[in-house]
Amino acid sequence: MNRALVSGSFVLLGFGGFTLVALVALISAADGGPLGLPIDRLASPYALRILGFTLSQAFLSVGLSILGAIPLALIVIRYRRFMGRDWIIRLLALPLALPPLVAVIGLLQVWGRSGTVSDLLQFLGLDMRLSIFGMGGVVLAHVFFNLPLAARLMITHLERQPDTVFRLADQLGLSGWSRVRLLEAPLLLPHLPAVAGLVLMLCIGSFTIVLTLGGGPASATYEVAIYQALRFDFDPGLAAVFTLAQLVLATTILLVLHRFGGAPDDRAGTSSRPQMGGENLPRSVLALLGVYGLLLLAPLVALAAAGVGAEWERLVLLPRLWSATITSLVIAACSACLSVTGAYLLAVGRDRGLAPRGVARGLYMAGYASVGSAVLAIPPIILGAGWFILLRGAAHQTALAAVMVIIVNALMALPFVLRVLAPAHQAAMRRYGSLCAGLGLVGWRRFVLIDAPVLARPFAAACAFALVLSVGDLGAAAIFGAYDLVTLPILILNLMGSYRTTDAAGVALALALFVFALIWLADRINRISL
Amino acid sequence: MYLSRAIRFAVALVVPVSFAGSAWAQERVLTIYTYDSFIADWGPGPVLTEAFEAQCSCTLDWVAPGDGVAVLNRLRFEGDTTDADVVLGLDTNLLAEAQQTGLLAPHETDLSTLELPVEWQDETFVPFDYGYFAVIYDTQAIETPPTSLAELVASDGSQPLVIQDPRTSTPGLGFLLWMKAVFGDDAAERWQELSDTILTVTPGWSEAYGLFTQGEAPMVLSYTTSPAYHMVVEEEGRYQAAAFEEGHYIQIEIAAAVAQSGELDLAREFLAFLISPQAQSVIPVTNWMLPVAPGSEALPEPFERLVEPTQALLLDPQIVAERRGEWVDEWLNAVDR
Repeated sequence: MNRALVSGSFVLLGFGGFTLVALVALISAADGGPLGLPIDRLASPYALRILGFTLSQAFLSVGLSILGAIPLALIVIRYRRFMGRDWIIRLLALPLALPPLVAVIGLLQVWGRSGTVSDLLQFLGLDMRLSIFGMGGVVLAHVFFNLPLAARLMITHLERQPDTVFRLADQLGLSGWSRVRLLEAPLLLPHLPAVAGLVLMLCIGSFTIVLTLGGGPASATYEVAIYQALRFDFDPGLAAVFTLAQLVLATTILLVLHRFGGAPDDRAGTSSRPQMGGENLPRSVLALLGVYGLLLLAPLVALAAAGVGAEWERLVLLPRLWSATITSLVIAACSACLSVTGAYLLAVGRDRGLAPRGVARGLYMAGYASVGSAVLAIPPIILGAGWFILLRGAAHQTALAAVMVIIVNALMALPFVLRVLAPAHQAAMRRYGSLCAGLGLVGWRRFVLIDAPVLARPFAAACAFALVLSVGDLGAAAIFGAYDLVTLPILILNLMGSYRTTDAAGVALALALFVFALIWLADRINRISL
Repeated sequence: MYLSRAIRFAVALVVPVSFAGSAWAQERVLTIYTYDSFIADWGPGPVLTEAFEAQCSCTLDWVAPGDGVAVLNRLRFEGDTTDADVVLGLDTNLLAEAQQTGLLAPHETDLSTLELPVEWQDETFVPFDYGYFAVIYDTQAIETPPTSLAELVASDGSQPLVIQDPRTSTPGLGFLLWMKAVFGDDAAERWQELSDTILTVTPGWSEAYGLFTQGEAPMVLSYTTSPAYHMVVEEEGRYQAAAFEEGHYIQIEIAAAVAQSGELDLAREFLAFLISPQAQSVIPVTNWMLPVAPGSEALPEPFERLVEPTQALLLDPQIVAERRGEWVDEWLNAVDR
């Protein structure tokens, strides 16, 4: 056992323990205790229908998100000097940071019955209105959220590849399909299962989107059943059963994907490659970008247009708006800090702390994979409820609630943060590992002298990503309901919940700009951020 | 080192809030659990706080765990360890389950001034406002709204309706009970007929009302008082409630004192204050519901113009508590698409 392994394991135990304790607390609060869990409810027609719907929408959503993301990633990688390229990459991070309800409203302003597209059809004399409620709407919304994420992950992956590969391809004059076949596909394919796994987690755990756009109760996920069991039936045992079902389902799919892909290879690379294309994009590429624009940008534009119409002179004077902004920032900053520190220590444990084989490594890697993906299959509401049971009656509920929200947000951001930091750390290890070993640099000194400067940019990028995810998060903050803990997304929901739709649109725009500023900042610091 | 500053800042932000209670230990504190919109800047909370603190020489400490259901669940989770002296914002559909916790005390309040459309004789719960569920329609899209629930059910679906999910939302459950109260054993069949008219079923009121005001659907399930908000605050008469012949299902919002509160007398004083003329003139225009007792000031004129149901429908809370699960399953099977 060495220090790297100890610190990595400590993080694993911390995050894993936090999750397990919540689940155990919930199960022990069940009426029949752990042995009396209503497992049989999983075979009820209702639960089976949930399983069917969850699987079909998740696979459809993942398939379309991945397929749609590939051309976009390839365009960005092939053409490196066209106008607006940086903005495309930045915009890709935005959807994930929006509260789902806000995104749903933006999507409906484009695709809804009275949305822009329907109005266009009417204008063209076609007497038809789109109705996207049902599977179509659910998948559309999931693609809107996840295609950009998948594209960003692919771009990051491709940009990490060694220059030499691309140089060689350029010298051989590879272009078009032969370039795809001989260069891009082999680079990208091994990476796809990892991306698919992450996107799948997000689709399985979808709640607001599935319910609002699903069209009816036939469209439900386990998350809906968990929510119902916990709130309306007040049945912690049943909630725990559905959570376990979701966890088993997610883990099974992840393992299958893992068989296909394994871990993506993390070779060190830089982004200073020679340009292949000039500044003028071919027409076909422009047309393709237009399609992406309609799909991804139009809803955002619609949201911005609605937000501009808010009464800003009154909004900026709302004390709630400012306290919510500060609360969001503080919670997000703390979560990001925790998440990034955790991810760094996990990566250190993985790359430096272990013999290449053995039981310890197997255990560690299993834990690493769980907190790196499967954790997303546990609904924040479950974590909150479990800890709430444990902490009830404790003093300083607001302070505790703040701490809980920070931990839950950090946990939910961890899979994303790991995907930015871990490959960068591995690359740094390859480059400086033997130097450090030779100089006897370990622990804190090694961090200050080597890792901090070398990994500054990935750190900044990971931090920004974690910030963005926590700012837009609703799940965790809504559980404890401490009145003093109002974040921007909660404020938006509160405004919408009391007829103030235009104010809500204004705050949503403020949130989007705030998040966008964070992304822009991170991008300035790190040109190849996720 | 902005991160360490941020952490210090976070501590500074959180700590005073959590110690605020202890600093005022000399003064009596009344802790009230309620739903979040009640204590929003624009809700009744701030105004009621000022008025009550002026008469009680005490401090009100509000806790908002979410909506009405979340308030009840917080109480159930905490059981004997609860800090609450008063729970406010449950409704008639949660009444039986709240009663079953055994945590609530008799209100011992004089309810003779109540002017509710139904008889109120409960000894634990004090009603503070009420509303009728109603289908709100957009007058720019619909000229002749349905005049009965039966007509709505039989409509061809060209004018879709958005409702809320009875599994996750109070109005959603209210509509389920409305259907049950009107159609009884035929409810499942009627749900099937209605399902072509339902555009979607949202998790909560906000999502549904958002879709409606966005023009996505010309009808939404809400309250007869919703048009009052638009007419009073936005001076906009576009959204109106459809009056239904069979009558409208009523939702009465209630409050109760917690039995093991150290401030039981103060809690009861607060319950009495809730139905005082002063409070009753504030609650309707901040919570957008109807008053349960005479207020000290007249309500804004649009309140005069709201739909007044011919009959207030209300199922026995005890029966609702027992059969809710069964009815939700019936609904699930009927509208499953």
